[in-house]
Formats: sequence, structure tokens, C-alpha cells
Amino acid sequence: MTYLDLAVVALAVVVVLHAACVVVARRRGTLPRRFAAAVAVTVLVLCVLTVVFDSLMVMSDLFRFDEDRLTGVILWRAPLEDLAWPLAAGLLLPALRVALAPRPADAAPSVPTDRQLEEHA
Amino acid sequence: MTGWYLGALAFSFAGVVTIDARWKVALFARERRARALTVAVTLVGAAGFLVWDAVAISRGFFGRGESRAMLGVEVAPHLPVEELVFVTFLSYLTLVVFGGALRLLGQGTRPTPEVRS
Repeated sequence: MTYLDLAVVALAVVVVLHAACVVVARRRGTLPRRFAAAVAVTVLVLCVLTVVFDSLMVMSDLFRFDEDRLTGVILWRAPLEDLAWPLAAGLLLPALRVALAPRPADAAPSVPTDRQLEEHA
Repeated sequence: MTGWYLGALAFSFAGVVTIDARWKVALFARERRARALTVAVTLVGAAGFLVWDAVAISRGFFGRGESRAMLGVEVAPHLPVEELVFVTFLSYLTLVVFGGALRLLGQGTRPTPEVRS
């Protein structure tokens, strides 16, 4: 097993949970209209931050990789595999956040959701 | 200087908390339920990343470096105490960035043109 294998397994679990959360949020009417775009922006921002700060952390010798079990693709100083972290965070945590969010009826200032739009149409 | 990594994490954490306090997107959201959710989801994320860490360390993919920037306190073999702060920070940062992205993309209280049409 390589570090990439672990990342792929973790991301597979995250993608399934992400999809489940989106289904739940849509049913509950708590899925924000621009959810997918916001997730994409989040993943992009986190990936950029990861390349910068992961590289600084590697250069500071905060941790060391077993280089024989890396793909060898290095972004500045960070291994490609480490991008799985921001990808997983950006996919899973916002999805959990909206799946568990209070329904629009419960919250005072409501946010337009898919369901509200359908009802409006 | 010993321990500056924890200091850098605390500084970053404080910066993100300040942004959140100013724009109220996660831990400072107006609804109480949203604030509680931020805490809960952050803890779930941190726990998930620690599992990922534990598997990677147990398989020998990476280990602790020798930098004196760390305090040298381990909560488990090769898992420095700073990592607990890091995974919590990463999870919280994710929710703040997401909340900010939703806000910028027009998820505010103002209805978008499509809603009105």
C-alpha cells in the first residue's frame, strides 16, 4: 500500500458521504443554491493554501515522508498526495454542514434553497 | 526557537477567528444552531483527519520531523500535540472559507434575480 492508495480510499469514502449529505440536504430543503460552486471555491482555496503551507512545513522539517512510497510528484515541496486532505475537507465538511443545517422554516433569515425555488416556480 | 509551530498555528487560528467574527459565517453565525453545527462539524473533521494520520503513521508513510519548532510532546508515536491543533484548524478554516464563498456567491438574505423572476 502507498500513501496514494490511502488517499484514494479516504477520498472514496468522502465522496460517498458527500453525495449522501447532498441528498439529505436537498430533501430537507437546506441545500444552498450555489452549494456546488461554493464547494469548488473552498477546495481551490484550500488546495492553494496546502501547497504553500505544506511546503513550508516540509522545509521546516515538521514531518518527513517515506519517499519510496510517494508518487514522486512534488508541488513546490509538498507531495501531490497531500492535496487529498484539502479535497476531503472541502467535499465533506460543507456537505455535513448543509445536511444538518436548520430547515428554512426554523431559521429566521431564510436562505433561498432548491426546494424554495421549485415551490416558487 | 522551540515551539514556534504551535505559535504559528495559534496566530493563524486567531486570524481566521477574527475573519469569522467580522463576517459571521461559521462560529459567529447569527443562528445558534449554525454556531453549534460549526463546532460539531469541526470536531468530526478533526477526528477524521486524526484517523487518516494514524493509518498513515502506522503504515510508515510519514513520521515526525526533527524540527525544534515543535514542543516535542507526542500524543501517540510520531503524532505531535501540534497535530491536534492543526486538524482542528484545518476543519474550522474549511467551514469559514465555505461560508465566505457562499456569501460572496450571493447566498445572503437578499434574493437573487432568479428567485424574483
